Amino acid sequence: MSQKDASFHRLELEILKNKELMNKLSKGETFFEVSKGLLMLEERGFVDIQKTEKKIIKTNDLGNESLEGDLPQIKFLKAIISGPKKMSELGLEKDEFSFSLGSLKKEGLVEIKKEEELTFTASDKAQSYLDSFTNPLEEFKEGIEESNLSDEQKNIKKQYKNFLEINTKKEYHITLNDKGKNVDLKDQENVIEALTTDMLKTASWKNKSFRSYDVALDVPFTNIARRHPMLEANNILRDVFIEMGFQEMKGPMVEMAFWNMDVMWIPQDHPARDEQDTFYLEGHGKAPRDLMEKYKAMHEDGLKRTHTKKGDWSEEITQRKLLRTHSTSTTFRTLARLAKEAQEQGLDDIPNGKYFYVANVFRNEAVDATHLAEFYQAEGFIVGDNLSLADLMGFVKEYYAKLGVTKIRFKPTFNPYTEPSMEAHYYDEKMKKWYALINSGIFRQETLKPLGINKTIIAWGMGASRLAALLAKRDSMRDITGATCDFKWLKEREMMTRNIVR
Amino acid sequence: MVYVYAKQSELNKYIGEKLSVEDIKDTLMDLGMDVKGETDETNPELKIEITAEKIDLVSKVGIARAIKYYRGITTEFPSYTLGPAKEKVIAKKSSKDARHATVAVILRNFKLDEEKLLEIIDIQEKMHASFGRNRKKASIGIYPLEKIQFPVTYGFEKPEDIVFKALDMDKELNGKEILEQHDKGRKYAHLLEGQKLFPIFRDSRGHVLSMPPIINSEEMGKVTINDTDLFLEVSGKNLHHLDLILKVLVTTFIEMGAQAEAVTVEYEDTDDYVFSLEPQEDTLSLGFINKLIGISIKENVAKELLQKMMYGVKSAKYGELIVEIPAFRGDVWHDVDIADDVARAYGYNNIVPRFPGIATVGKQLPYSAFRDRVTQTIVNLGFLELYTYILSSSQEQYTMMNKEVEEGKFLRLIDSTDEGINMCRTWIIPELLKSLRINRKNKYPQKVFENGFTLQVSDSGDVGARDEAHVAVALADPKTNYTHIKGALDAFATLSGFNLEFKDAHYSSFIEGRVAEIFFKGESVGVIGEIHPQVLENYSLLVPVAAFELNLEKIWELSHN
Repeated sequence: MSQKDASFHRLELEILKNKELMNKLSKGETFFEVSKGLLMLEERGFVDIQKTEKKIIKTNDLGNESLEGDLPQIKFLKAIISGPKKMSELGLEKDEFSFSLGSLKKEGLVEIKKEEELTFTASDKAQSYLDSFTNPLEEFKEGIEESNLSDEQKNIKKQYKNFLEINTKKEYHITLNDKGKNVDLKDQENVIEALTTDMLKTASWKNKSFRSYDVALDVPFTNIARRHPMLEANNILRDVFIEMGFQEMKGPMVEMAFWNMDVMWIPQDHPARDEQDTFYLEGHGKAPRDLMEKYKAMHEDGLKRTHTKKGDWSEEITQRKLLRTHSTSTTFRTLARLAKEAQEQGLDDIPNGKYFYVANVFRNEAVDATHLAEFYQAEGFIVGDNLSLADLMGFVKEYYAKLGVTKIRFKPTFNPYTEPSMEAHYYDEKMKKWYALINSGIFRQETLKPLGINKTIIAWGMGASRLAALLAKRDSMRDITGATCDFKWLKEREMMTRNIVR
Repeated sequence: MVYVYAKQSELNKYIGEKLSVEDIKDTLMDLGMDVKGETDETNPELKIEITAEKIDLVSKVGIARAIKYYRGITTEFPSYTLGPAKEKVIAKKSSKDARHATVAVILRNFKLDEEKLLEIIDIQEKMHASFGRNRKKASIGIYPLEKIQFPVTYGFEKPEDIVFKALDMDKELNGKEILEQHDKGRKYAHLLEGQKLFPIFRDSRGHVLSMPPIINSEEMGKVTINDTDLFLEVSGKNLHHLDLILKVLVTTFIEMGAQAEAVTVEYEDTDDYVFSLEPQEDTLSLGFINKLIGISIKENVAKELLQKMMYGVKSAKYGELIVEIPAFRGDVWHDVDIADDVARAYGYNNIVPRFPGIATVGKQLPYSAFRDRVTQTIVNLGFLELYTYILSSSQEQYTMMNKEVEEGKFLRLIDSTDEGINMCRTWIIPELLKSLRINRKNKYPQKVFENGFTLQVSDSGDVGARDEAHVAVALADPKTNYTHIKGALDAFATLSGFNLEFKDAHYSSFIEGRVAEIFFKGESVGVIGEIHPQVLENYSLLVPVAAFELNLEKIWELSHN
């Protein structure tokens, strides 16, 4: 006998030491339930358990009620036996009514007239039916095993299925097998169940063996503490940016239309400014006077042609307070700061550089799998002397490569503040589909000239919450954000990699 | 967003060739449009998404025209003949303040059939919805010409004085009644809200053409397939915008077979306006285009590419391009727009990407690194990180937390699509309680935290508000109490090197006697305590919860002074 077969769990020992029980088991005995210890013994091959299931048909609550009172068709007949009744006067529940009407009609026990409301009259046969009626459910009160049902009982079961329930009765026939019969319990005194401090102190563990465990047993997880996938994904994005030489920016979530829209040369009557898209707050901010004048001129005059009529640009609108709808507001605050610093240092233009921001933004829209009212965006820009659309493409290609994507394509699109504007799609080999994740472009000169910037700036952004959902392998952004996140999933989800391809 | 639905056969009819669905889709993608539609069906209907500036593409005709040029089926510049103005519209001075502007044109010899008439109505509807901003910015009226006696007057009158039979009505109503009783009146009444005078088009006999932006008259404003000559006006707020809409409509209708004739609009208070389809001319350098796109093409190639995008090229030599911009283009504001069109014609995917050669050092903000360390430290203490929203409600932030709503101490949203949202959160613990409520089914103990932002009202700064990072930690367990959360905070403070102090506090969200205000360098930086059972009841929680919340922004500032 191996050492494993010679050591027993406390629950196993309770059975093995119970002589009366062992006696029964050696002959084979039937039980309705089976203890943990017996299951453990079965698992290790000391006993054989044969499981059988019996289905017992028995009256349920509704059925028991009808045994004390009346079945619906009887209630129905009793209600109309003294004279015709309208539907509302029957005093029957809706399902009682629908259950009984069909059979009463079939048996010719009721006549129906349709006036304003249905009216029911008992037929001549009704009284004798009532007198001779016995509740067929009586036989089921104590329960009948399904395989023992007579044909008549089967019909009753079919007709009165709402009054009956099926209970599964399990039986276990347990027999001690040869291995079990040969168990030797003599040595159990020398088997250690749990190692204790006392045993270590007294060295009493020496010359004893330990009860063997099932080492593959599934056990409950220990407490899991970890980061949230949304913020983990944000950190991945930040890492990618920093690896590529970008500096982090920071800017306010509460903004003015000026920094959120006007500096981007977005017309003041543009649909994106509507309250359906933007969360506005009470009151106004204070935009810098000199810049406000410059952007007013740029809106009304343009560089060659423009979208806004002279005198139509409003200082009131530009200073309205709102929750930023994109992180580009911070990009422009940063550009304005860089322009001011360059001016103070007597430079012609701002220095070349790379900047990024992973920021939360807000949209006043209906929430669904792909739209949230509050989400994260990642945005970056590069300032240079001779940057072009080809540079933007080259950059985006490398950025995608960092996220495990190599097959990409470019598509022209429209953004009010970039031209050219470009979407970059990636191909998911597993899903066999193209996905658009990055939106990008070259800032229009109309947006930069008022700041005194003449260099080229290429910029791109993406929904970081979308990206987080991809990295967390979830379809809906709602699954991974907000108070509705499931703790169990948050704890037990698979580790995140940088690869967005599923 | 505007969608145009067009069958393959319809587009091919206007293109004049038999293009495959794949060819049409690829061309539209290259032009920058998103297309959906099955390629394996015969004659599928394509759903084409038109971006906000492409006003000339809001019709099948416009889309077919763009495809035709892009594929080189036509290269000739799209110029349009316009007959000289014979008729006029008088725009009254009283219309100064509201929808004061109008532009108009006459269409002649327009042979209509059912299909064309439906197409015209479709274009009108699409234009209303998109560039007319649901008639707010522009409203379009089309009338049979033969019923009108010129000059037409565009004026403003008291609604009670405007009495006519509106389209599809069997009796006369006045302006006010139309807003109440007619379908279109009810739908667009908000556009005239608060106005004492309503806009009105009348002919020289005083017959009403229409009451824009609401409805035409039954008598003068009903077009049938037997009408070959039409009067077309656009009215609204911004003359420039209306002019562009009219140009797009007229060039589209000319493509469909109409002849156009200008109409003069006599403004009583400003210069007259005469409709024109003359193209604008622009000069730009080829070097600029090559540099911006990152390609190097010669003048002859540039000319071909410009023609593919419907430009006229008057001259292309010595690195200088003189181009004509079609009348229907409303989005060519600067050289970059022409350069981008060249890139589209060149094909974005034919451009060779190159990695920008600008060497820089990557940098994380010290503050972000600090916040990240805080998160990591709390994870190390065995807590699960959560991410909940800044957008919240006064119900959750105050009422359910056993607090009176403190108007003026938080940022209230003016309007929200989601009724459950009306403010920006000022603290995070309520969001943790909400998460705990939603996760009641999960096992206890639940140890959670969030390192996130709150938004606070502030005197400093240009927007009167401040982002403030907080960290909130909560412990929910049948056996938890103040000691356990204090243990967690003490451990955090030790690991972070912050010397925190605690003073008794009175705070209705917490149990009296088991709540403290947290101090750092003598300043209040947070609160710690056992959540009040009334609050737990409000959040439907059946276990004790202990929590703390720290103002990280302040701790950061104080530790750097």
